Amino acid sequence: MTSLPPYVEDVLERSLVALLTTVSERNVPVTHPMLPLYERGSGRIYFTSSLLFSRKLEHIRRYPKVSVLFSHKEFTGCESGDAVLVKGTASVDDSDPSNGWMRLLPLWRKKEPYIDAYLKQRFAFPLFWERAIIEVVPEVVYVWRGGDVEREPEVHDLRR
Amino acid sequence: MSGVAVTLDLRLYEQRAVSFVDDDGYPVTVPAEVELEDGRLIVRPARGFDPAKISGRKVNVVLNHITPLPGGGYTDRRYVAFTGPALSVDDRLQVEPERTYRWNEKEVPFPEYVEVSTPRARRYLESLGKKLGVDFKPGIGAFWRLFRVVRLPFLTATAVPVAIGGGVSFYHGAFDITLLLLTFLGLALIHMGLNVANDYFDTLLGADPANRRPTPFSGGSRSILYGLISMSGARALYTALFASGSAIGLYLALTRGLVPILGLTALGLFLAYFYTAPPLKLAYRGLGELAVGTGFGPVIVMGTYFVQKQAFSVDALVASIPIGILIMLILYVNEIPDAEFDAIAGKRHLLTRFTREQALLFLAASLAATYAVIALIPVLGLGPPTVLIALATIPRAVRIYRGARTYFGKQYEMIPTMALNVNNAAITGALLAAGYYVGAFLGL
Repeated sequence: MTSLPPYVEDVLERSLVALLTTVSERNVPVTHPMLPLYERGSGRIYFTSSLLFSRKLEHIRRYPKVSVLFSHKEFTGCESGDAVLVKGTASVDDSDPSNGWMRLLPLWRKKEPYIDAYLKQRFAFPLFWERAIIEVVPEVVYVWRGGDVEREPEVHDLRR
Repeated sequence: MSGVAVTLDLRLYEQRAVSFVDDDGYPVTVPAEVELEDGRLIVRPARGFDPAKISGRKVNVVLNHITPLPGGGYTDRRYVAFTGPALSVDDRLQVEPERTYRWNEKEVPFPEYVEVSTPRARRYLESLGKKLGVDFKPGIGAFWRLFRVVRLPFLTATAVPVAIGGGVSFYHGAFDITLLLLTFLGLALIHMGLNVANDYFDTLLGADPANRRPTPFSGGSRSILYGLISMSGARALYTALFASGSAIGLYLALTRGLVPILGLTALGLFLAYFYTAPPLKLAYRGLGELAVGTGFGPVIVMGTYFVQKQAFSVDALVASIPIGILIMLILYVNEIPDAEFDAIAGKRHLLTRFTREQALLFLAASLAATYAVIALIPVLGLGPPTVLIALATIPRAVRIYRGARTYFGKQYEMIPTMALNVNNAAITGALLAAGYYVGAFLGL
């Protein structure tokens, strides 16, 4: 299986916000800005979604094909400015909404160091901390180097 | 014709993208240049995705903003998305939005966003529970669940008047610590029963569900709405709390004075239950403040005093007035953020009846009355001069008034003022109680 070049993994790993797009029951794309958590090694992209905002989970269950866009320096935190689009297949793990997602805390903490302080106040927003894990397996990745969208993107097909 | 009028300042959103479902069935979101033209969105997707191929499909145009924080993370989140059919014109897409969804945390603060989404999470958890055969409750642990359900921190509102009743009695030469603790326990159980019953009936009558902007001090405990306890569980719990509190009241009545203590216990229970319970639902009729002031003032202070001294006293009655007002003001100030939602739900407490200026005048007058009564206690010979130490909190009272005046009607901005007000009741009450104990020690 093809692996991603390091400059792409940097973008996936450092981005503060990515646009996760699911497909609704009316076959319309629905895009959600979310905090992406990239796990080097496995090459998977994770999101944790509060059950408060669970429509996307229902979308993924019905139609698991998704895309994730990482773009704009402000959001990716990468000076390169590379924009990365990931097409992939997602799955939802909500078997333990109270604790299951906590395995991703080390990745989350790197993006939002203050997360532990919020977690200590969990009783204040109990339902916010009931969360499902969305796992995205990247399949095709498009890269606009330097964020230059006037150029044809590099395409990395990870299914090969 | 556009289904959704597009009026926004594009400069507020750095990240711009367009989504569509590609030929291979995958949704795709690509960076895009976005402009506004006659209420339509003009979109040019990144190279690699031909607008002509997208033409005729429903697309989603997304505009997004964050402000990264220097230490990591981000704030100032806002996004807006428009969904509608796209038509290829030259090398661009013309999008006529039919639907939109958005969030701007400056317009809808995060706690409110969470609150309005609560029913969705409840439905999801219930459905998940049925599927997995598990009764899911938010995983905050048994202690924190109890903490929220019975509103443990608010028990200071019981502890302080008990301390004052005990203090007056001590000053009058009668004091039994075991009886004082037993009195507190009984009253605390009834107070917790009041809190749970309040949640039960405010949920049943629609006041709590109508409140989009609860705070740690207002809008109820939200325990039922968040699924921390069921309606039937809440009913069973407040019944058990009232029953156990009453049992202690009965014991004290049998051992310390049947009719007076039984009468005060019955009055306390009546006020606690019918504070929100139909048919009286005192809080819905503008009588809640009076009920709370009476219950947490004269009823508790006089009851505690009687248990100790086996007699009533004018001194205790007068000492109960400041704390009764201060505890009433906890409710009153906490109702300021609730007022707009309570009015919708028909919970017509004083704040829904007053104008802003009347509400502030009532607050100022109540605070002034509190300190005036404290000042009069030694002047009228109803207590030692040491009770005047409670006047030390007057500067806090001024800050409470200023805070209420500044943040009136602004739910989240009111939080520090509400916290200050709760603390002021506890500290002023504790100082007043201390004044009696110290006065007795000094023989004043």
